[in-house]
Amino acid sequence: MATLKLIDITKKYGNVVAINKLNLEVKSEELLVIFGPSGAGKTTLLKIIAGVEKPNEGQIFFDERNLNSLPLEQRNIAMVFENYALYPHFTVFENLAFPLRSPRQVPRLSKNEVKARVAKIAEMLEIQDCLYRKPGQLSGGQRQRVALGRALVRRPSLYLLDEPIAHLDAKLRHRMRGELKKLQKDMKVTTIYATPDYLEGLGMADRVVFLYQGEILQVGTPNEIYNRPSNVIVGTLVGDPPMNFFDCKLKQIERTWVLEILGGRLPLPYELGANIAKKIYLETAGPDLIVGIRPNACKVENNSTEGTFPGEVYVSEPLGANTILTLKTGDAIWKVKLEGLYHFQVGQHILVRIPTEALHFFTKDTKQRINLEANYERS
Amino acid sequence: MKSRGLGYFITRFFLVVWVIFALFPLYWTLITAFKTPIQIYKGPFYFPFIDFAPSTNSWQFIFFGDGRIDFLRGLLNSILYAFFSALLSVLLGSISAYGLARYSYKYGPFKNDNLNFLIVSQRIMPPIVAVIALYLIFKFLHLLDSGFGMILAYTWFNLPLAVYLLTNFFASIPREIEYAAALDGYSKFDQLRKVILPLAAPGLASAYLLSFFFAWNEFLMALMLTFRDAQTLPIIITTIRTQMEPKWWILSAIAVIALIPPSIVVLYLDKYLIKGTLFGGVR
Amino acid sequence: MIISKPKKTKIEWTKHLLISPALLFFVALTIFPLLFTLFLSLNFWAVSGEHHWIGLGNYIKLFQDSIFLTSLRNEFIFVIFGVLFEYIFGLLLALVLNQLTRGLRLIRLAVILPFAATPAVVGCIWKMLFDQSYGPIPDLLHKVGLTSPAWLTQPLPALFSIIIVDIWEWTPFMFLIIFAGLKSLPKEPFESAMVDGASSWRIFWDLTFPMLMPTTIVVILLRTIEAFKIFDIVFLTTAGGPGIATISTTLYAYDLGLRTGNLGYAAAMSIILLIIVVLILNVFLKTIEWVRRRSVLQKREEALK
Repeated sequence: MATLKLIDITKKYGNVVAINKLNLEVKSEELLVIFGPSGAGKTTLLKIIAGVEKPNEGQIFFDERNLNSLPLEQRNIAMVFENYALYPHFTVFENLAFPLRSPRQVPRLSKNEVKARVAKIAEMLEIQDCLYRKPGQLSGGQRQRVALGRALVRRPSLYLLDEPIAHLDAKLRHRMRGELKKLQKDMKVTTIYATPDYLEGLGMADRVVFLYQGEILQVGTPNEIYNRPSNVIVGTLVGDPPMNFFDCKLKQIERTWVLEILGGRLPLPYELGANIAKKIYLETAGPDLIVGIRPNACKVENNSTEGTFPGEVYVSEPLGANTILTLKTGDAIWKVKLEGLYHFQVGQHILVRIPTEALHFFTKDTKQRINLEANYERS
Repeated sequence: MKSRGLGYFITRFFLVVWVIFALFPLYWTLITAFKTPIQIYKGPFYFPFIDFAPSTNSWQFIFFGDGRIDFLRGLLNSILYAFFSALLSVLLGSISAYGLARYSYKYGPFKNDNLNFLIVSQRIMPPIVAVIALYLIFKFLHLLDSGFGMILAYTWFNLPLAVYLLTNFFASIPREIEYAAALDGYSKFDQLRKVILPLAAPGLASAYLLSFFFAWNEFLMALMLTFRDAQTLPIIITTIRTQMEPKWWILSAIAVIALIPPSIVVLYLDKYLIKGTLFGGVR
Repeated sequence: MIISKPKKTKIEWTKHLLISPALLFFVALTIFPLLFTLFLSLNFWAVSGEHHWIGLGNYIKLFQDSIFLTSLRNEFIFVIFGVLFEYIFGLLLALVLNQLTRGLRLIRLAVILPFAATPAVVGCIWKMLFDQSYGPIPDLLHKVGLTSPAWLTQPLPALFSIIIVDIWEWTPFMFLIIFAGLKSLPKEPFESAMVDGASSWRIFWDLTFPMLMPTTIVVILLRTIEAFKIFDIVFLTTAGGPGIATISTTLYAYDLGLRTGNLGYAAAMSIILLIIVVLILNVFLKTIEWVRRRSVLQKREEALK
């Protein structure tokens, strides 16, 4: 049982608060992704867990053991740093072997065992040809793989990976994602993986922690993060193109709940409307709210029916398997993602259906998700 | 084909003139070391084997003849003082430099950069200011004319430079490397031994050579703080010089010997200077 | 709220230990002697140990001491002419060597070698070279048909000689630093200037020189500080002579302090030298600040036009 608990962790640099009263529990053997834009505090958090930085306040517990006063070398954690931190005077082989030769390596490994492990990791990361070169002679991508290898060659209790595949080319990155996830499952080691890339994060994670400006906005499975963003920010940053957000008003017109959106009206199923109304009037006593819809949930229609909205094509981007349209409706600029290749002219007027099942609702002031009962949400 | 203008020839001419200017005195000293007194007094001769026959009489004098006591003593003292004071400077300097590079200090209003500056500002003070006081202090402590005193004085003399160079050098080694080694399971001591020290070796070597160089070339302190037993090579030269008819040939021989160690240092450091690694650089 | 302070005291203790040797040395051998010399300067203190307080007596005597004033004059002559020519020659050398492709290493070594020589040894060598009867320099001048000035035995030529020796010794230093600075300049502006067809002079004056300004400032500053300390060369080439024509302040202080044993007086002289160096340093730095600020203001004005 290797659970990591962070309690009320706060880290300040001068007057800047990098991490603000953060609480997190990492389950044993899970691959937890810490996802957030740059500057969110991902690296700082990892450094605090590793012991490289000391928190101003808060406690870290690993397996019920308080880590706060435990020196780095005794924490049995492996970390891949953003800037690799390879040993420049060692060859790649020696870099990879270094952790295995440390005095804390128990049981002691024989020369051959060391060689074997290094060879296996090197092969997996495709760096076996560089084994006898020094880091200064490698490309950025190779160096990154050596850094990754140096962490993977051990059997620690916890892996901390700070954007470990950021500098690899797309194909290798894709492959590494799968390899790393498989490796993690095989090794059964708790892993924390920081990345600003949502595809990577959601693809690999058992759970995702969304970190923004030092605070956790949401914790959940990738599914939950994607389909039930707790916050406008989460909705914006997860998904490409980002979720569209509209300021709307919810009104009741002749017993039908109607959303005033995009200069038009979108009727909502009665119970859905009523529930939303209850929530927002309770909290804000006003009809305003923010509605979000993912670009890929919208569909282009030919006929103007209830639930369709006009839009003038502003930009059309045919991208192989998809087409992304940027539309202008009144003052609003929003995006629609269609499957397949279409050619639209700039200035063309089209109709887009907004399905009510795909809507996400957020309060206007706190930008938090309005949670409704299960029937009315996509699963 | 670009035509070579006047500017080209002027610059090349200037270069040639300068190189002759730079090397001639050294050349002259070298050949004078192989002259006999008569050859000197008969008027300047410029080319060995062509207008004069070289002899080894100065060399015999300083190594085997009457001059050997003073000369060898001076030589030995110079070597010892430079060797050990440079060692101490680098030892003490690297400890402090590591601290300055890795930790932040605050003594009253003084922070890291100020401390660095303070230590380096010692260079601004003309040595004579300190040497006068040092003379009395050494006299009181019976350190005058002693090897120990000279090594101490030279260590002090070179410490600021060592600290400055080495602080830059250590600062250029990324901290993450130490963290990585720590996470890999190595204690602080092992980190220093296996990671930091090998990386800092070029910097330590350069600081050592530079300290050796400055200690070897030092004159004022040796002049004021020694009078017989602890004299260095440059001082020995002056004792020979202060005679009615200066013995140029002996002087030149000693000068040639005195020029060898610093020249070697400069030749060796030139390689580093050009690579830019003198001031730190770790990929 | 649990506040954690792990191992803070242990780290603090270690880091203070690290820096203490250097600081101790600094205090013991810089601060303390400085204060002690200051104290000495306010006393009459003979080498024998006999001493009594005379307050500013030494200083008052100094300003009426014509030898001391001559030495100050000499200091400024050496510093100004020395630094000026050393900079110009160093710059020229750096520019020329920057364009060399063949033999660069060898020539650079030849240029640097004089700097390696022990200053005291240098003094002896040049004394030999300038010797009227047996030295090569007068001899060569005669051979070419020129009269050789009495290099070391007449006041004005003696000053020249010292400056020449100083230039020989220290130009390599200027060269090294300027050369490094030159090498670290970006290539693009020069390439585009050449494409635009600018003349070498234009390139130098409009591009190279301004971009080298930081290096220039550093190197002149460093050299000026060092130049005030001049001692070895003077001691061994002219011994301050003829008479006192080329005496430097350090030399005079040494003479008085050790030879005649008036340590208090010598101490006062050293303090004055120190004050002069520090003042000049300050003036220099302030001027640079002022120039920098003015150029920023100028640029702002032009941008607003």
